[in-house]
Amino acid sequence: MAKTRSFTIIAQDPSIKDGGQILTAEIHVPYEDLGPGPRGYRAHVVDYDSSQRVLYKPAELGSDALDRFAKATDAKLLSDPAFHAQNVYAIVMRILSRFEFALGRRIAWGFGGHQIHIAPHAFAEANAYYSDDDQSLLFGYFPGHDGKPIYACLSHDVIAHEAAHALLDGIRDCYTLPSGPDQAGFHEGFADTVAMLSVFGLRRIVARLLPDAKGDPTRVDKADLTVEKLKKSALLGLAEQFGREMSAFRDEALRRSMELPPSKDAMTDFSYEECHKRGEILSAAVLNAFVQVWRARLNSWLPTEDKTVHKARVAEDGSDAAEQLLTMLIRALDYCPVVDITYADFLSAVLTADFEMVPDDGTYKYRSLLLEQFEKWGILPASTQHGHREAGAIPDTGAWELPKDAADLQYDGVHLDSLVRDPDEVFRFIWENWRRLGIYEGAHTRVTSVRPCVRTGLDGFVLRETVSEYLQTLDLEAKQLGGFGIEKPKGMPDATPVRLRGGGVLVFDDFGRLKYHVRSRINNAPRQAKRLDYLWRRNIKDRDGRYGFSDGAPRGRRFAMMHLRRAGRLPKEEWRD
Amino acid sequence: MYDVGFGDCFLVSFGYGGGTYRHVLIDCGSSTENKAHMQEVVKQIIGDCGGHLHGLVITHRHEDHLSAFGLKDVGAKLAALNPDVVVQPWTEHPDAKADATSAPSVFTGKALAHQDSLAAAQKFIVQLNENSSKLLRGVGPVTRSALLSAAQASIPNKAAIQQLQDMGKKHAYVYYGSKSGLEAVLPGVEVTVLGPPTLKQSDSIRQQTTSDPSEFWKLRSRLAAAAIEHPLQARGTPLLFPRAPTSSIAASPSYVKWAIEKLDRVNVDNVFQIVRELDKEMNNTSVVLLFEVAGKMLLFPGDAQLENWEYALHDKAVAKRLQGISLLKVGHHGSTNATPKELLWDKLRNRGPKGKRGRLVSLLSTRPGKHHDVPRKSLVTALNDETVLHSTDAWKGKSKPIKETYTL
Repeated sequence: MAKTRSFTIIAQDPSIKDGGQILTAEIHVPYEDLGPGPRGYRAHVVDYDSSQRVLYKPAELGSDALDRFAKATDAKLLSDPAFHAQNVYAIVMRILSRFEFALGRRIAWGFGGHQIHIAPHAFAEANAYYSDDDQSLLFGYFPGHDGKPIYACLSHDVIAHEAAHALLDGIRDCYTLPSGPDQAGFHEGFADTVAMLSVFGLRRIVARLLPDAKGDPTRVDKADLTVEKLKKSALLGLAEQFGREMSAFRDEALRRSMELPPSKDAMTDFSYEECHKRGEILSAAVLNAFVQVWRARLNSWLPTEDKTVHKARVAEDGSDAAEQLLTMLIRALDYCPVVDITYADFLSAVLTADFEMVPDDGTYKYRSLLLEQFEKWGILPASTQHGHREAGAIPDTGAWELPKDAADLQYDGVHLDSLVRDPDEVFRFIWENWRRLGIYEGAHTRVTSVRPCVRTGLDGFVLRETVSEYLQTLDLEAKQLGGFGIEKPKGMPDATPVRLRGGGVLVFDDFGRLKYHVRSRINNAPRQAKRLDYLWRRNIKDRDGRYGFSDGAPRGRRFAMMHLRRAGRLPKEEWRD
Repeated sequence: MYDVGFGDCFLVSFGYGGGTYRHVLIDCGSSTENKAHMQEVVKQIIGDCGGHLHGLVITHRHEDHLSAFGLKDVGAKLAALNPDVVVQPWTEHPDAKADATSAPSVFTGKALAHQDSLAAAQKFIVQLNENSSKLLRGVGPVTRSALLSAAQASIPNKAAIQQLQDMGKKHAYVYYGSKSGLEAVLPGVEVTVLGPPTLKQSDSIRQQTTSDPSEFWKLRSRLAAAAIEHPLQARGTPLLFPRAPTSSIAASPSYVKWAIEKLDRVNVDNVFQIVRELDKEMNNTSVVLLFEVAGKMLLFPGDAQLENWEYALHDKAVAKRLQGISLLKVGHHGSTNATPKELLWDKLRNRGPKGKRGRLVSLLSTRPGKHHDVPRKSLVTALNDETVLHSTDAWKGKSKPIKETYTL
C-alpha cells in the first residue's frame, strides 16, 4: 500500500495565475482508503448546498492513489464539484497531518467524533467557519464582481484557517470559553498564522511573490532580499492578493497585521483589547519573525560576488522557514495552559517545545528571533515574569522551568504503565501530590486527557513525552469571591453566578517523572479578578446572565459570529441588562 | 408624541407668536397597531396641525415609521396635509437605482451598489415571506414565527413609498452636513442634519471592514443577490453546477442524511442573519435631525444605530454641541445601541436627578415584546433616573391617551 497520496490543489485561490493558468500545487497526504465523498477516517466531504437544497454526487477519488485532476484544465477545476471536494479534503488532511507530525500523536477533533464533515458549498453566504456543534467545516459561496461564483472552498488559506480552528479546539477546547483578551484573540491569531505559514510552505507560491531580476524571471536581485524588501514583496504581496475577490472571506487580517506598528504598550492599551485586533498582534509577531528567519537562512549561502540568485533556491528557504516555524507553533500547543492562555504563555510554550527538540537554538536562531519580535509588542515569556504561574524561569531561554521541589513528588502507588494512558492513574498522582503540585483541592477536578507523544526533530532526535491535562471548576456567587481574595468587578451584583476555571498540563518524561507543570491555579486571585473584570466590562456572559460559563453565542455559530464581527457585520452592544 | 405602539410618530410645532405655529411631522407608522388606531392617530394629527404640515420627515423606510402612508384613506388624509417639504434620507432618492443614467452627485458607484444591496435584500425578505412554507420547510413553528416577525419590518411598503413620493411640494434627500430642506419653512430655527452619513463619510471612519471601503457594500449587494437567487431556484436546476450529477437525499446513507439535517439548520441560521443585518442597515439610513431654537436643542435620531451616529459624533464640535440638548427622542424604541452610551449619553449635560433645572426631556415610543430586548431595561432605568421620561409604554389603562403634548 502506498504511504502517501498526492493531490492537485489550487495553490492559493483561483485568481492567482501562472502563465495564464490557475496556479496549482501537488501536495502529499497520508494514504487512506477513500469512500465516496471523499470519506476517510478523519474527514468526510458532504457536498450538500443548503441554499439550493441540492446534494451533489459524492466525489469518487478511488483507491488507486491516482490524482484525477493532475492535468485538469482551469475550466474543469472551477466547474467540477468533485475537484472542489478533493481540494478541501486534501488541504484539511494536509493541515491535520502537519499537526500530527508536529505533536507526534493523533489529534482528536473537539466534538467527540472521528470524522469532521466538510461542506464545500454549504450555503450562499460570504462566510466560512468551523461549527463544533455541527461537527463541520462550512464553506460558503457568493457571486463575484463578474457575477461568477466565488468559492471559499477553493481558497487555500481560508480552508487552512478553518481547519486550524477545528484542530485547536480539539487540543484545547477551553479556548473558546470566556477568558481574557489574549484568549479571545488567540483562536483567530493562531488560525491566521497557521494559514499564512501553510500557504508559504508551498514553494511555487513563494517563488511567484519574488520580483524578477532584470531580464530573467527565474532569478531575483540580491538587493531585493533584505528583510524589508522580503516583507514588502512576500508578505504584503500576499496580503494584496488576498485583498482581491476573496477578501470577503478573509477580511485582510494579514495586511493589517503587517501594517500594525509594533508598540510595547499594545498589550495594556484598551484599543487592543478587542479580540480581532489582539489576534493580529500574534500574526504580526510571528510573520515578522518568519521573514527574519528566512533572511538568516539566506545569509548562510548568498554568494557575495553574484548580483542575482535563483528564485527557486530563495523560495525553498522561505518555505522551509515557514514549515519549521509552523511546526514550532503547533508543537507549543502541548505546553500551553489549559485555560486562560496569554500571549506570554504561548511564547514560553513555543520556546519550551523548541528547546526540548533543539537545545542550542540551531543555526538560524528561530527562538531568539521570535523572542525579539514578541518583545517589540511588549510580550515577554510568561516564565520570566515574577509571580506569574509561579513557574519561575530559565532566564536565558524563556522556557517553562522544571517543577520546583520535583524531588519531593510522591510516586508511590503510581504505575508507570498506566500513567501514560489512564486518566485515573494521573488523578491518583495528583491526589498524592495536591500540595506539592500547588493544586487547590476544593474545586471540581478532572483529568481530561493523557496523550503519549513521540516527536522527531530535524536531526532525527526522538523525544518521548506523556502530556496530561486536568481541569478545575468552581461555581460561586459574586459575593463569595472575597473569600478567595478575589476582587469583585465594580458594580457586579452580589448574587451574580460566576464560574472560576483553572487547570494544568503535566508533562511526564520517558520514565514517568514530571518534567513540566504548566499551571493556571484556580485560586490565583489576581488572575481570576482580571478575568472577571474583563468579562464584566465586555458584557461577556451566557444567556442566563452568568459570567465565566460560556460566551452566550448561539448554537454552532461561535466562529460564524466571530468572522461576521470581524467584518463589522454585527451590531455592537451599548446598553446591557 | 402619538401612541402608535411599536413605531414612531411625533409632531413638532414651533410657535411664531400671535398664535401661529409651523408644524413638522416626524414619521407615522406602527408595526403593532391596526388601521382603526392609526386612523384615530391621523385624525389627531390633522387637528393638531390645522390641516397643513410645513414639513414632513420620514426618517427611514421601516414599516413602523411609515405604515400609515400606505393605508387606504389614511394615507390620502396625510397626503392632504400637503407638506411644503418632505425630508427623507439620501438613500430614498428616486434616482438611486442601479440602472440610473444620471444621479445626484452623492450617488457614486458605491452608493448605487449600496442601494442595490438594500433593494436586493428587501426582495429576499419579500420572497422569504411569500414562500415561507417552501423556504422554511422543516423549520419549527417558534423559529419560523420569530424569523418572519423579524423580517416583517423590512418588507417594503410599496404603497407608502409611492404615496411619499407623490406628496409634498418639495423633496429633500439629506445626509450628514447637507441642508435639511426645512430652512425656508422654519425661519429662525436652525436645523442640522447629523445623519445618515454618505458612504464616503461613513467609510472614512470605518476601520472594521476591508481596506477598500466599498467592499463592505458590494459584498452586501452580492450577498443579498445570492440569497435571493439560490433558495428560489426551481428545484432540480441548480445554479452552481448545472451539469454536475446530483444524488437523492432520500437514498443516501444515514450518516449523509445526518449531516444534511445539520446543514439545513445552518441555512436557517444564515437566513436569520441576513434578516438581522438588513434590519440594522435600514435603521442606519435614518435621518438624524437637530432643531435649535431659542436656546433649546431637540434631537430626533429616528432609529439610527451606532454606525450611523459614529460619523457625526466623530466630529468633536458636533459632539460638544450635542452635550447641551434639551430634548432627546430615544432612538430605535430604546434598543441596545441606538443611544450611544460613551459617545453621547454619558456627556449629556442636562441629565440629572429630579429637580435639576432644565432637566433633559426624553421621548420613548415603544412597546415591549415586539423586538427581543427592546426597550433595554438598563436604558429605561437610566432615562427614568436622569431625565423627564415620557414613554408610550407607560400610558397604561383604558383611558390611555393617544397623544401627549410637551412644551419646552
